Amino acid sequence: MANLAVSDSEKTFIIHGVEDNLRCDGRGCLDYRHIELELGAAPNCSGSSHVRIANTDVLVGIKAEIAAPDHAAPDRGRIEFFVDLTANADPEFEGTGGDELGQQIAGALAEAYVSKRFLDLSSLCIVKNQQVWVLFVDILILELGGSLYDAVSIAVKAALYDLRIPKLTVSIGEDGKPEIEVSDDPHTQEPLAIANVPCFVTLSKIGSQFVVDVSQEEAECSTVNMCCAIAPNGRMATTMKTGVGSLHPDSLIEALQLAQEIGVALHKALHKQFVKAQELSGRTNGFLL
Amino acid sequence: MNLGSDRKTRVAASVPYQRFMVRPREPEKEFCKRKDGRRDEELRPRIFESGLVSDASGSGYVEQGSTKVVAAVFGPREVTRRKEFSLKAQLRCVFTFEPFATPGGRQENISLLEQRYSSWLEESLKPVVQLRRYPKASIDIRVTCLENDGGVLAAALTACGIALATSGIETFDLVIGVNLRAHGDRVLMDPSHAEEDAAPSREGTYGNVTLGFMPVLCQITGLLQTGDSEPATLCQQISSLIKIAHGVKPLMEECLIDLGKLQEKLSEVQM
Repeated sequence: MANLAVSDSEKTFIIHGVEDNLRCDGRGCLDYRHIELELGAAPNCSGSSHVRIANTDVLVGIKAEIAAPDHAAPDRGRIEFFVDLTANADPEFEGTGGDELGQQIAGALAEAYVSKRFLDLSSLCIVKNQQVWVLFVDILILELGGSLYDAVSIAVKAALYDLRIPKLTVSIGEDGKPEIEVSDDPHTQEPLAIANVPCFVTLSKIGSQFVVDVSQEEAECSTVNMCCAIAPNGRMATTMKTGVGSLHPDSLIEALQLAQEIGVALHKALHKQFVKAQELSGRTNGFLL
Repeated sequence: MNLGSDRKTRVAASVPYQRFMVRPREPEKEFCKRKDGRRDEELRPRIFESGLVSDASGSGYVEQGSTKVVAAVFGPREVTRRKEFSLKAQLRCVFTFEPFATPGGRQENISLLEQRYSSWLEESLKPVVQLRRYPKASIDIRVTCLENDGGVLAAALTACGIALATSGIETFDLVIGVNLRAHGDRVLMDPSHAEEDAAPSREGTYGNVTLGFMPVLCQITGLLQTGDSEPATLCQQISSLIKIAHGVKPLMEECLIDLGKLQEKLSEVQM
């Protein structure tokens, strides 16, 4: 990830602050920054969202298309992730510079969404073995301000909440082949069941403490992160260690339990906000304002 | 059936014949018994070798059942481009599957998996190497999977551990990769490829857990869990993986001692 120049004395200041449960912006170790959430930010998509956590700015658009299913899952829809790190976020990402990080994030998301216990894609099946809905999730990262995995996963969940796919009717045509007809009445659209969709909770170790939602300066002080995809019911879809450091098994146990508690609380707060944001959806002027 | 087509070449893409095979609906009846007759906690026989790649500074070969992985360490080499100078050594890891490594047809999206494995290995090896001892240097690790029969990531990490130990690069400790498959209440150590890819259990936890562990310092260098789990269950699984890693350690040490003896003999002959 993009590197920020933080001097040794600044690092010491941040680490000492964390030990006293007081961070540079006045938060405690386990507090998130304010999360700004907007649904329907890109009207040309089937579902979209815009999430801003302090300086981290993520825009997600989902386009639904019809395609042949995966051979391994002929009766399920598909979901595919593409992450684009803009050169606005960091000049380093110009050209193909952001591809590696983008693929890492996309891979982690795909891993978190793979199980049907967390996102049941069987409702996206149109004709078994022949046609299913494919959700192309395009994630655009406009600005980096730390805690990228968390922000991206929140934005993706919000965009899935916003997703509306037209209802299809399948009838058997004269030649015995199924024919698909798209309803033009928007009120027949069905939302996707997202009650169990997980979000990433990243805990970074600074000094001897675990800290949630790190800013970029704080990220420079930590060497090891635990990145856990936590579902609203507290179950974990995927867990990975990122960063260049190592961990003692005891602190790993501590991190996993913290992540579960935080994840469950985060989902509760998010669901409330989704409902509110839905009412305001499409009324704002522009997503950069 | 839509067979799809390759956009670049405009030629209809081929399809592995395995797709048309009729598969049993309930795979292996939730594995009442493991196919190779092992107990749940039993590991497959494994072979550790070192010094296979003569051009490399150090190399390791791991065979775990029929999973075969080679790792080779190149460097430390001087970084020539001024832009890349840093006070710590740069460690790069590239993992590749040979086309004949995986069962079934040629996989289309294998390169994504390779990239994911490469970055996981890189992050699991960085805590092991004393990067500060090699300023302005780069260390390259190449890992090749010759055959995939489950636990490739764990085997790759162990192979890297042997390669680093024999390369003379200063490390903090050995590193060992271990993995398991959770399936409901059962925990299958060192699963085969079929077990790793099996359908999820109807309820309870399921999934794969891979752990990178430094046995002497008792530090976790890498963790990857997938599937559906809970913190308490995962913690239990990690502690049993750690026990397994301690069990594997003597074998790894034996392999390193063997190489040391061989080198000693060689130098005697040269004298």
